Amino acid sequence: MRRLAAPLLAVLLALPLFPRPGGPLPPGADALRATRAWWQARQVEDASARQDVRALLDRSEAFGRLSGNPEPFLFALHRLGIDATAPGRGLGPESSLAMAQEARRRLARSLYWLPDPANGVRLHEYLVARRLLPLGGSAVALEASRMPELLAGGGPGLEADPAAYQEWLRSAPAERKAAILERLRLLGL
Amino acid sequence: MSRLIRAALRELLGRWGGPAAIAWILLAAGAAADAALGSGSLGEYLALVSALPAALVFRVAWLAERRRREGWDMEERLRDPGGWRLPSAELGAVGLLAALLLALAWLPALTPGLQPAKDQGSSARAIELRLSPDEWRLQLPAPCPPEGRIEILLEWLEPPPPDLVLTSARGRVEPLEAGRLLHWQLDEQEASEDELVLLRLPGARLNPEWLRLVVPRPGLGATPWLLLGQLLFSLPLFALALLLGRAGVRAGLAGLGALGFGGLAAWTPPAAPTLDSSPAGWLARALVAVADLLPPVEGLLATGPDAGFRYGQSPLWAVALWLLLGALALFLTRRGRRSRRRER
Repeated sequence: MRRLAAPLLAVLLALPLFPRPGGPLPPGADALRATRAWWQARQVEDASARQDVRALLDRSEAFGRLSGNPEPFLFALHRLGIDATAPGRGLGPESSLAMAQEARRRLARSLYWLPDPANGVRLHEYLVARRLLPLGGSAVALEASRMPELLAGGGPGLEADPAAYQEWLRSAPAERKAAILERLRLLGL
Repeated sequence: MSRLIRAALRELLGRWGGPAAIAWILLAAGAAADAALGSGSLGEYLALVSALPAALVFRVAWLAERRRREGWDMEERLRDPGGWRLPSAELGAVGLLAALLLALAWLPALTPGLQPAKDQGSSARAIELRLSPDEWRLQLPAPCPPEGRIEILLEWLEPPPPDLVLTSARGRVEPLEAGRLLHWQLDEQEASEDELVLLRLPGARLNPEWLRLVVPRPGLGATPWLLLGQLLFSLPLFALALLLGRAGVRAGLAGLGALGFGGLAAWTPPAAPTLDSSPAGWLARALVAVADLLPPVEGLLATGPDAGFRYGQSPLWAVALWLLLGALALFLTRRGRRSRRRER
């Protein structure tokens, strides 16, 4: 009986000792995750107080993984005072949409040039990354600033000018990209 | 019997157990009340509190090992030939202690200033999307919370037509505005099915990145039920730790084994796991099979940011079966039956 029980016990022991993502987690393991999330939240506060952008982005990413917030970069943007959405609550596309709308609002203020919601977030990331560069920047910011092609899908918004939006959708991707880059140049970005 | 329970309680608590547990509850409440970074929530509080029953699993295994080494079995065999009294008293003591600690953990939820962050928010989960020429097939988890909703954002590759509507295969129609998020509130029948089938719209692309199943997280009013769930989930684990500890397994290993068993019971295996034919794959298959055999009690352990997906998802029959498993472990713990057989 004991010989039979030993391998079974070994498997049961392996479950809590070597947890795998998506695999079984023992009761109480969530307490460890919550403690780590709390500690990372303190680290984010610390980085925010020190105005350490690189640490803020890194810590936000770790905090996002632990707290279930899938948008750590947006979280960091919030801590930099850029995002209007509530922190840590961005659990659905709603917060992304809020970000997109914010980006659209800011752009609409100057040129009536609105990216579509899907690309609005990326555009906003791009804009913020460009703003972060003078601060020393982070790997994320540098990477984002090198990727204007992310914006290739953007265009005028449906609400502002439906006719322009329809025309935009009919245009070739290369033309869309060139137009966006031109607009960004005009914006001083 | 009551003296046995009191003695077991004293041993389980030790000198510092009580103050340490209260300090942990206060720290957990303090951390969960901090909403500044979005780190505080009822789910996080319950996650921190769940460390207490887990610690008690180790403690009761330690108690069983210590008493086994001290020869309590030999003495108890003379006093109680049936063999029920000692394990029942130990299980009763640890169950009582867990109930007391979890009742204490309810107090911060009633105390202004220590309450977990009031903005309960929602739990969200990415859902799998399968494409067919005419349909989007959204794979729903089973069981799917009935109050769940799906958030859909379509990307337009062509000019969208006016008067847009999104239609399900069952004929439900929802108005849609291009560029805006659509909240598709699941009805009772949709929530009970494995997938939601939507008819594809020409020129539209459904990017899974923008697709979420969202359910509201349980509010503060659900705290006693969530804590009771933790207690009910822990009772069979205490019995299993006792069984292993009395059977000669070292306390640490017995505790880990019981928690591993609990992990399997609280695990919802992926719907279609991709497993190869390596030894690890076979082991994973065996784990999935065992997890499927165990009653679905993951709803009792609703903690963390996705507590909304688990809360209230365990049927009563599953809870009763889970407790019966604990009773079976207690039954196997009896020493008298075995020793009487040997004597014959």
